[in-house]
Amino acid sequence: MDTKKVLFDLCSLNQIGNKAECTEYIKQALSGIADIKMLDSDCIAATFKGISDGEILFDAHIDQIGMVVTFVDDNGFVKVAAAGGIDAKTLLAKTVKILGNKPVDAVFSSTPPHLKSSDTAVSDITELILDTALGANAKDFVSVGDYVVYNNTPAELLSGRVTSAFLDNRAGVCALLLLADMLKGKQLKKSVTLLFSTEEELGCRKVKTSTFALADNITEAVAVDVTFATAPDVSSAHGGELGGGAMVGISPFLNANVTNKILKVAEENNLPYQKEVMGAATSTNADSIGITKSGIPTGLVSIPIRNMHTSIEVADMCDIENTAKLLYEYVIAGGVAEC
Amino acid sequence: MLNLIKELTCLDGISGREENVRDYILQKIEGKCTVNVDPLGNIICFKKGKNTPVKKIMLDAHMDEVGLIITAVGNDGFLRFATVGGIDVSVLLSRRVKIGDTLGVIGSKPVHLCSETDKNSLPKVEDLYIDIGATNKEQALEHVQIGDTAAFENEFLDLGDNISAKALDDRIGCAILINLIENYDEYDFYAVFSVQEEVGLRGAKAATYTVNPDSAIVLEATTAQDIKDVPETKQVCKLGNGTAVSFMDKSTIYDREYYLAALNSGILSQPKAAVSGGNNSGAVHLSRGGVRTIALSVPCRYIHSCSCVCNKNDIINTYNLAKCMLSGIASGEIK
Repeated sequence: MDTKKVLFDLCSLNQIGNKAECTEYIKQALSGIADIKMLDSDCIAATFKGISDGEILFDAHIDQIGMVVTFVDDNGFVKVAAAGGIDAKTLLAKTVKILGNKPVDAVFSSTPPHLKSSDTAVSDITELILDTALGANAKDFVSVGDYVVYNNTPAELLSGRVTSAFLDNRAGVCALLLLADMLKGKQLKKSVTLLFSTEEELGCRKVKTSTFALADNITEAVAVDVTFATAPDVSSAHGGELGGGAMVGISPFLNANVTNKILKVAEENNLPYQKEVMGAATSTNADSIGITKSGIPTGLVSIPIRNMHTSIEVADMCDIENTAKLLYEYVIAGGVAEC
Repeated sequence: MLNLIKELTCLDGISGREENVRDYILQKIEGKCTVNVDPLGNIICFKKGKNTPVKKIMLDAHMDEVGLIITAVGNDGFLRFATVGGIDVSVLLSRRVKIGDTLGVIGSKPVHLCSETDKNSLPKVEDLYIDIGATNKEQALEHVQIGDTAAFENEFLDLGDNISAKALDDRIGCAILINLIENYDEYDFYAVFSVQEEVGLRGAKAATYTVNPDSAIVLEATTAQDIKDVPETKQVCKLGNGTAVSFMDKSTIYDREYYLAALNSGILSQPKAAVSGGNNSGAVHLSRGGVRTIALSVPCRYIHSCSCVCNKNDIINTYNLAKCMLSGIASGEIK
């Protein structure tokens, strides 16, 4: 399976509000090799049947951060609110796409240095002005409630690294599709369900309803997401090394047996990994999955990326592939729960 | 004209490194006029017309654009840079740039890790870095050298009545000047495609000395702040309202007769209603014993960023107004 092609395909799709292009892509990719189940709010699950009653759940959220139109004026200017954590000061003079009744290119306004009076940053996205340059015609195409997304073209950097918007969490989704490719046609001890959930960026929402729907069969789970990679302004206290392998979460919120099993499998198979230690909440879907119904033993594996939530996130494709291998070996090793 | 502008904006030509733009223009105007490239890299052209003008007239457009210059390559493989020309740090954050053929991104601290102070303040340029994916200094140096320039990655967008791209300041002027060389043959004129405008009007100073004109028309793009929430009094000029004609900016008081003639030409135009910025006129009008000068600018929103926005009709109007002023001055009709 071509990692770059799958990743670039995924990053070129939009999954926000009623746009469910990732759901559709995954449905196409996994139909015929797994049992597909459509769940609440465009979440999708794919199950590979095993020979015993146990079932491992792997979750990756498919939604993306974006913005939503709150106001359109008669001169083609638009105001937006955030749909997910966006740093307003990275948006000035940036082009975006409004998903109106047709896609509309637009540019966030900026003040040139000749006319700027202060150096304070715009910290509130609602202060920004989005320019469609369509004048009065803007209202024909753009309405309050339309979503706004980064104008995205994934591209390759040096060393097998890529830059794109939405690597959070298409990198994780890509890892699960690589895993699906490895599981295809294999005889499995436990069943494996891949859950692709929505609205993580708005507060881990739809993983709750989806896991509730699946929980009766699930005996253990691992959430697959992204985390911070080190950069000149991100120290090793806050992030892992890009290209250093999957980051295995260690936290009171996570089940120690699952965590230890992941670490053991990585060691035994000589797969590169890094530890990501958190004092409490992991701020990923793992936090919710772990307390679904009467509780599910849950672990967390994350792919390090730089510039999270910007249009220029950076990931190393080796980390994505190594994450898929780690999850595969976890399945082959039979997970943790007795069954 | 639009296709020409698109092709010109796809070229990178940071001040001092205009060679790609120069080569492109030289190829476009080949055989259509007399061409010289001066020691600084300015292209100086003489276009023979059907008539001899009463005054020697020079038109200028600058080839260079604002951008970055690589100042250091760290052991970690990240590149550090300084700005070339006036770029606000706010339009650098999370941008893609090209250093020659090498793609890079200007990273910034994830919003999740920002303190309240981080969120409300802009980083300094010297704290920013370009990530080309290199894992160490040696690998980075295989692709990028200290002193190389970096330009915004271009994303040319057709927005209906308007266009968006990097470097519309001043590839629009270059495109208009190329069109004049191709299509205008009433009177003789000199055309200068100048270097290093963005770092202090340096190319135009030498080129104007060489040409030694009586009168000059500077073709530019200028700030339009006709944006929601900006008060009418601070909007400078408006997209779609025609060529912005300058009476005064930070470097020049323009020739009054030329200013009035341009506004009253019958071609859609508007005063540049602010005393801000500057352009090659600052160097041109002080050349030798003085040169009567006018600046005709296409209004441009978000100038000096990766996403300048200009109006298609304003570009055509500016071409027509340049032609009209050229004929008016050349014939002596404009005193």
